[in-house]
Amino acid sequence: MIEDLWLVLPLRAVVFQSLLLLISIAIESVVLQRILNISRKTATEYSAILNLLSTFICWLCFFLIQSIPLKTLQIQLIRYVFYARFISPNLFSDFQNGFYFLLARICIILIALIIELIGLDFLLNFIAAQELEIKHLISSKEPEATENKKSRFQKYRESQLNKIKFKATFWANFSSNIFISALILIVT
Amino acid sequence: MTKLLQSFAWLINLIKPPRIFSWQTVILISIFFWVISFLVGLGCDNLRLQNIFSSLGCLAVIFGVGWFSLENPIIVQGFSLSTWIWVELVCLFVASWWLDIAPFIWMIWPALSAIFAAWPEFFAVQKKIKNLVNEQRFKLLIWILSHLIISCWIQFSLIIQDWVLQYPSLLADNLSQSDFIVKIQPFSRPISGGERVFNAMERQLKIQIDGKLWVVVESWLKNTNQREKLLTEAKKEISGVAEKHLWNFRTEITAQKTGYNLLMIAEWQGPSYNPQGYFLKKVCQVNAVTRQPTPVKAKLRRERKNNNARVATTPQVIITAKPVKVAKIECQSVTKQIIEQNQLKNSPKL
Repeated sequence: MIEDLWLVLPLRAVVFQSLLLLISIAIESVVLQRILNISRKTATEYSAILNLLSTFICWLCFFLIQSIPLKTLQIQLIRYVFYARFISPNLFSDFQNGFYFLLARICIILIALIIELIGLDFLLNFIAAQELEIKHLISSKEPEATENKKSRFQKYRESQLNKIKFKATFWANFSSNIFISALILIVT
Repeated sequence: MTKLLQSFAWLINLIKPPRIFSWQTVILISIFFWVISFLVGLGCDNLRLQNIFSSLGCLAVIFGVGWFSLENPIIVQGFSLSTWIWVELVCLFVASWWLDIAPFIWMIWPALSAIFAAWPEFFAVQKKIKNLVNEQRFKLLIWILSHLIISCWIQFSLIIQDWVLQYPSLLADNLSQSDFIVKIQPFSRPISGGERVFNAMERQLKIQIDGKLWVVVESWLKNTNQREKLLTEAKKEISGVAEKHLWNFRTEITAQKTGYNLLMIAEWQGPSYNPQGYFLKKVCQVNAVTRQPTPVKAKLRRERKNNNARVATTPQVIITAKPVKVAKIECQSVTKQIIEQNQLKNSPKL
């Protein structure tokens, strides 16, 4: 009975993800602190929440993709998870692997950016509304526009607060992702 | 006697509950249950009785820990550690009883633990999430989100277990290149699906042709239908798993000096460590050996005993006692061959 014992555990994934999360939380907190002009502690908390949230949503996306009952897709995922390769080899396999890896990376970055944008909005509006530190951000909201004709998107684009929010999230994500991608390239 | 008691006084004081009606008593009861279940296991092989006693012990532990965490919750940074452990114990117990929903329980226990551990500080005291201070809200969010990610990791490992069950040959391959997983298999060498089929074929071959008359065996070997039948029979070994479509089996017969070589080839078409994949090879040598037909000999001796007088049977005896050519089968162990880069995948060079 004990001879049949086997275990395949995602320990490497756990270690790598914890490390990458710590790195990106540290980098993003610095950027958020600079751009949103808030205290270091608040910035760290914000970036921790945003990063954890985006990681969680990315995992959910992975589970969704995994649950598609398609044999080839499943084998492709297995190939990636077990052997760090996307496709069966051929003449251009190195290029193709690199291309797919880049594509996956860009998808993850985009999802993270969107989630963090929504998350920051949520944090500022609903959770941290009474906080004094970001009062200057909230108060810089323009008085309600009289013309209601403008579409929501236009309103969103013109709002000063949203511009700051977008800037903060974008630069935070950009810097942390550049750093992590460089790290992955160096390691592999 | 009193001296003996006195020398063990510290131990008795340590385990003696302060009151009869306390959580320490419940823990003692659970230890008592476990001792009983151990004794039952030693005494008789009644597995059911043993299970009942050990799960009663588990229930008592859960009850005791729950009581303990109600009385004095160990609060670390606003989260009750004892409640966290208690929820984990409950989840373990439920998962061990309902095997059908065990994966689901495994998946949700971090989230459940997180919510219950945060309960006394965050929900019960302030009555509503609305009343929380910002700092507390952030703390709560980080706490719950990090546990959700642990849930994701557990779900991921369950998915991997499921994959390995469907494609057991993955386990036999080299997994050191992966960025995600670690293989732990300390006690045995993993066997791939192809090897399993080969072993089944060897067993069948030994039953069917080992020690049979050479003429019969020769015609059997040359008959492709027979070999096909053998293969389909052996393939039943891996019919339960999803990877059966990824194996490509074939057999070949080559004539040797003293007999035939039966070559079995299994190509793996799924993902593997080696970029071009690999194939497994097993050679069984079927040789003709001359052997004295022992059963016939015994028969002859019996005949001779029965009719001593008849000398006329002698020429017949000489004819039947002639050594016969029978088949002897010898199989080598399975070898793994990696397909090189410039080789065509469908026609591996042997």
